[in-house]
Amino acid sequence: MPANEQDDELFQAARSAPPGDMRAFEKLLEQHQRRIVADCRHMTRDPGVAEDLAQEVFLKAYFGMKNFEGRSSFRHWLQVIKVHHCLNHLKKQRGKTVVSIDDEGPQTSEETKAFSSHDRSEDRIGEQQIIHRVLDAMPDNLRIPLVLRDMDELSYEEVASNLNISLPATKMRIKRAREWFRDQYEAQSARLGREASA
Amino acid sequence: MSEEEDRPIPGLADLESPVSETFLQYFRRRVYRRTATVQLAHFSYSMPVAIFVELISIIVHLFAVVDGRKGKSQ
Repeated sequence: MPANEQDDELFQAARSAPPGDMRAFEKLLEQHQRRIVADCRHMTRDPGVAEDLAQEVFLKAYFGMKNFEGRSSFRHWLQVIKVHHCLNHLKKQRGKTVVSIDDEGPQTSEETKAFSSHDRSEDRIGEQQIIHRVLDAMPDNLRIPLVLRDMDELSYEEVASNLNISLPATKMRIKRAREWFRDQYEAQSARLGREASA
Repeated sequence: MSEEEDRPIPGLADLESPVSETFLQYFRRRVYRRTATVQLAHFSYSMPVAIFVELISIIVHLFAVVDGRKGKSQ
């Protein structure tokens, strides 16, 4: 059965379940939790709060089920809740720490250094781990639009409205982010290849 | 914009992070806690209302009894 159909069935079951019966929703949670945690992690670049944020996203979904009109898939609905929740979290954090989604020059120096010296001792690193590392090293002004577009699969228009920036600026940032990602991904893969052969 | 740059990064849409074993347990706890809070809030609103309504009905009943006695003695 395709994932979307299975989601829809589980969602209907969760919606019509009697109060306190969370079995159907828990199955949905188990299917989506790893992806939502990864999303939250890369939106905030803080693995410490990623699980907390993901739980709050699922809580909002659980208590908001009755209001869901079913105009989009469950996955997309969950992504939208997650995007709003993480952006609100970032706004709150902005006063406390320097987390900016404004257009700044590429912050390659410090972050890339930290990235290149990351856990050299590991022998085998999966593709997903390389992706995590590349995203961890990417500046906020590029990473957040890229996450919204390529992880959350929002349209360019949705990304632009969520970040309060113009459509051309959004497209430009995503283009730059993809270039940055591909360069760093290749460099990281080549470095690991050299280390493995040495 | 070249075609290569315009394509989404493969693997990002299905990127996953490991989740702690207690994730589901904490989620359940948070649901129960929130449900309990909602019930408590509802109770703390509806309880005084119920007491007030009861008091009013007792007072109305008392007046009715007193009126009845006065009517009999006259």
